[in-house]
Amino acid sequence: MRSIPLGQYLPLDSLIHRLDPRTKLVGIVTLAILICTARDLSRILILFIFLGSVLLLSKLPVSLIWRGLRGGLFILLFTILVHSFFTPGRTLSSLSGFSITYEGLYRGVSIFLQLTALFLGGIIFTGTTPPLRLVEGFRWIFSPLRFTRIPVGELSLIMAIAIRFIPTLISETERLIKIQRSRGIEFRSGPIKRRIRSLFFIILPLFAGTFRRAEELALSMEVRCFRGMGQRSQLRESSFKERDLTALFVLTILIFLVVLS
Amino acid sequence: MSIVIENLSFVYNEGTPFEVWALKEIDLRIEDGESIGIIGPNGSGKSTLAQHLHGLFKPTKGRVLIGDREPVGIHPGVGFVFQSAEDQFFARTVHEEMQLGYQNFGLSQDQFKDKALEALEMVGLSADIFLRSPHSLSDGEKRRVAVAMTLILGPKTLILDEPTLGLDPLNAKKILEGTKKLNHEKGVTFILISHRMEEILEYCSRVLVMDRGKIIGDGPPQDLFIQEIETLIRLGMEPPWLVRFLTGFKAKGYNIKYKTLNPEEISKGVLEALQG
Repeated sequence: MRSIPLGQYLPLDSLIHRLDPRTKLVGIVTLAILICTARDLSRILILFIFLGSVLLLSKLPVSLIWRGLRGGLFILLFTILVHSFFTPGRTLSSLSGFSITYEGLYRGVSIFLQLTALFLGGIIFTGTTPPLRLVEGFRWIFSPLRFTRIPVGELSLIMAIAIRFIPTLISETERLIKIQRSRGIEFRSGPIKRRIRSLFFIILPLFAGTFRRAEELALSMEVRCFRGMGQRSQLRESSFKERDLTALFVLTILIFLVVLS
Repeated sequence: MSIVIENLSFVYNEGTPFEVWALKEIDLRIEDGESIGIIGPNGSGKSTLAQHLHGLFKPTKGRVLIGDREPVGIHPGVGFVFQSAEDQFFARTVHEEMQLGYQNFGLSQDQFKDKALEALEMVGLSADIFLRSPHSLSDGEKRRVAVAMTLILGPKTLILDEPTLGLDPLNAKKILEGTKKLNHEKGVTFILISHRMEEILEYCSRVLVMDRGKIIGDGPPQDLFIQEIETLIRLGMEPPWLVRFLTGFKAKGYNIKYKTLNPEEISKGVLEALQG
């Protein structure tokens, strides 16, 4: 699990790292919408080519992405299988009375690629943006909500903390798995019913620990007199540069390409 | 059940930017019934090494032999008490919590209650705690229950990873006295990871010093703490006060005679040295 890189910032010197967090946030939200609404493989492939190019520009190691993907590969492949067997349509092949349909396989592969693309986008976004810059980005994107009296400061902070806590929760889960394995609880072998039951031995202490951690964090922020509301100053002010304009221009072209293809 | 480690290396996150070599070419032999302390700065590989002995990790290179065999998964003969082990609790009562591991390892249910009470007693807890919720206990009691949960499994080797972290001296003593008793009376191999040098001096007959994934010192704590005092200080560790006292006294030109690092013996030696 330690290999899952989602939420882990990797300080490198790349064009994507240097982009304004607001640009990256607009980019990831747009990409997520495009990925989720893409219904045919050609559109998904265009998005993959785009994400591949961004990945290369970000200089994030491909091996890291692969290790992260490998962890969830079973679930992703399972979605292909489920769709292949249970989507009605033209029969492609039969296996022990069950039929794999052409439509099911197409749908399964599409969902597989969509989930992979979302994961990839998430890794690139969190891997190239430090948590504090994320807060800035969220604050900006939520700023129109200020007029509706929604606490934008708190909301953006919650989002940033949630992302920041992904790696912490992953390592905590890993630690709990080790502790429970030493009590003879098996997660990788044995009947499926027993393995599902074993998950409760992780989930319950993990929840308890997460609430405790959240309470400690809230308390430590309180004692430092932190307030999410109000006009906060920034140590490093973000500035919108030419490269951000170029990135948004490229994004606009992508939207046209995906919508018109 | 001796433990042999041959040329053991282990890497975390291999092939990623987060790659860390936690252990580098370690050779070690632990005899049956030994009491060993493992010390070293944070990130020196102490816990990783101990978790290899429990079968939680597969070595990147080399091998670990427990009783002449390489373990496949968790070795039932090796008990492991993790740092903040009380985080694992989820059951309604201490009884349920203790029964889970016992059931999983297929031990006889007829003897459960006797063994549970014996394990609780070893760490200074009474039978009253049995039906209480583990979440309602004090931090010290929780930790002692976590240790008892390992003891009930009847391990031949017991590994304690910083068991006294954050505990008051009384609770710490109850855990260490209880587990050390197992070593003395039943010959259980005792491995203690700790940053408290006083504990190592009191409860271990051999100490391993680790730094950056390697064992850089191995010997009886009484000798090693004195001979390697500068190394320990350089690594950011604090040698026992008795060792610091002796070293300071010697530096002033006094020759103190002693056989063991025992406060009474040292005070006699100091008196003799002062009287010339």
